[in-house]
Amino acid sequence: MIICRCEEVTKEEIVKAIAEGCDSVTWVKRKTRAGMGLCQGRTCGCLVARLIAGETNQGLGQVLPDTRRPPLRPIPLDILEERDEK
Amino acid sequence: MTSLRADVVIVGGGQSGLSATYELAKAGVDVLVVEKRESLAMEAAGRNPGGIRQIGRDIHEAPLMVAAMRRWHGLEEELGCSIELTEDGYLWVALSEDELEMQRGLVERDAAYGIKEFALERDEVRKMAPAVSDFISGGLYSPTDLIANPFFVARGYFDRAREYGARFLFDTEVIGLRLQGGRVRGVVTDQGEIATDVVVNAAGPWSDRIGRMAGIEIPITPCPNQFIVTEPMPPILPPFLLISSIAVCRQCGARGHVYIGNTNAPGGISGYSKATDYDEMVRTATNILKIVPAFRGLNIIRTWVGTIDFTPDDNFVFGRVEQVKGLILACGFSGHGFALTPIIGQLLCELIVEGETSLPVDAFRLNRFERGTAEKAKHFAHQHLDA
Repeated sequence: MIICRCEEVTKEEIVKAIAEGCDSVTWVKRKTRAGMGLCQGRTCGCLVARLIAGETNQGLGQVLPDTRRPPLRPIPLDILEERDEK
Repeated sequence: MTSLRADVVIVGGGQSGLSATYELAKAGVDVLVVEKRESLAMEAAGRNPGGIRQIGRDIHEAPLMVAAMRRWHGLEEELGCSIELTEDGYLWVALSEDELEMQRGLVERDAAYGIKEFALERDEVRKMAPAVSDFISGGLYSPTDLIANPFFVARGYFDRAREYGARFLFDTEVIGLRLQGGRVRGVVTDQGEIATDVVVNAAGPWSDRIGRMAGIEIPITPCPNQFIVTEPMPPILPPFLLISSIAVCRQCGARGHVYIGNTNAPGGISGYSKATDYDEMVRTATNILKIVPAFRGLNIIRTWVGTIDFTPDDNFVFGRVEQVKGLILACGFSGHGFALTPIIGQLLCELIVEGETSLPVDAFRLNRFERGTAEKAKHFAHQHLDA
C-alpha cells in the first residue's frame, strides 16, 4: 500500500522505519522520503503521523508534525529571476 | 534528572558530536550527549547538501580531509547501514579568468596531499556537463570528491553509539558549566545537573555561548544558509556537486530533485534566523539560471535554512583550552564541517582517550585568534566556499 504518492513510499517501508526508531514525522521523512515530494507531505503527513501513533502506542497529539516551509505551493524558479531591463 | 554522571559530556547532537559519541562509546568510554532540540541532527547537520569536498581546502585542513576520505569510504560497512555514498566528484566552475587562474594554482598545491584535480577549459566543462552555460570561464574538477546523505550518516552514528551504551538527552539545554579550581566539574542544564570532568563543546553556532559559560571567547558569527529544492526532473547534470562563487547545486540521483543554494556573500546576513528569505530565493534563482539555464520552468517545492558557524578565518576551532581544564572544543566549522565528520570524531576520541591526536591539529587552536583582528577583516574580504 502506497502512503506517499509523490515519492512512492509504501506502508511497509514506513512501518519498518518506525520500528528502527524513527518515531517522528520528520525522521520517517528523512529515512524513507515520505513527504519529500511535490506535495510536501500535505497528502500523506497525517497518515504517517497515524502510523507512528499506532506503532508506538501514543496519542496522535503526541506525534510531532513535520516542519512546514515555503513555498506554500510549487512555484517556477524563473518567476523569481531578476533580469537586466534593457 | 537526578544525580547524573558521565565520563564525557558532549554538548550538541550534530555531525561532529554524534561522530565523537560513536567513537568514544565504541572505545568503552561512558559518554552522554546533551542536545537542546527534540532530536539529533536538527540544525546544520541536517540542513546541508551532503557534499564531501577535498577541492579548495585550506592547507591545514587538506591532510585532515585526506584522512577523512579514508574513513568515509569504509563508513557504510563500519556503521552497517547505507549512507548513500557516491563518488562522482565536484565540479567547481570559474566565472572569471582570475578565478580560473586561481583554480589552476590549486592543482599542483593539492597534488602534494594526494588530491587529484583537473583544470578544465570552458569547452571541456561543457562537454562534461552540457547543461552548463557559456557564462562560465572554465572549471576545476575533483573526481574523487563524495556526496553522502547527512540524515543517514547522523542516524548511523546515533544508532551504533546507542548500541555501545552512549546516552542521549534531547530537549535539554546547557545553561551553565560547573567549574572548580580551573577545571570542569559538571554541566548545568535546564533539566538538572550532570557531573563530569570532560566536556566537548560541539554546539555549532551556539558554541560561543557554551564558551562564555567557562569565561572563554570563541569568535563565532552565525549566518543563515538557504537552499531551495525543486520538483524532480530527468537527469541533466552528472551526479556531482556543482559549485561556484555564487551558487551550489546538486541533482539528486535517485529521484532527480535539484538542491540549489547560495554561497554566503561577503558581509551577508548574520543571525540565527531559519525563516525562508524571499530576497535570497531571488538571488538563488537568478544566479543558478545564469549557470544552468535548463532549470528554467522547474518548480520550487521547498526551501530550507541552516545556520553556519563562521569563524574569522573560516577554519574550525579544535582542541583543549589553556584556561579551563577538561573543556575541549570542536566547533566553528564555517560551513565545511559535514565533510570532516568521521575524522573529527576520531580525533576527539584520540585526544580524550590517549591524550594526543594522530594528526596535527595545532593550527586549529582557539588561541590563534588572540594575535589580533587582522583575520577578522578577512571574513568580509573573502568569498566563502561553503558546500
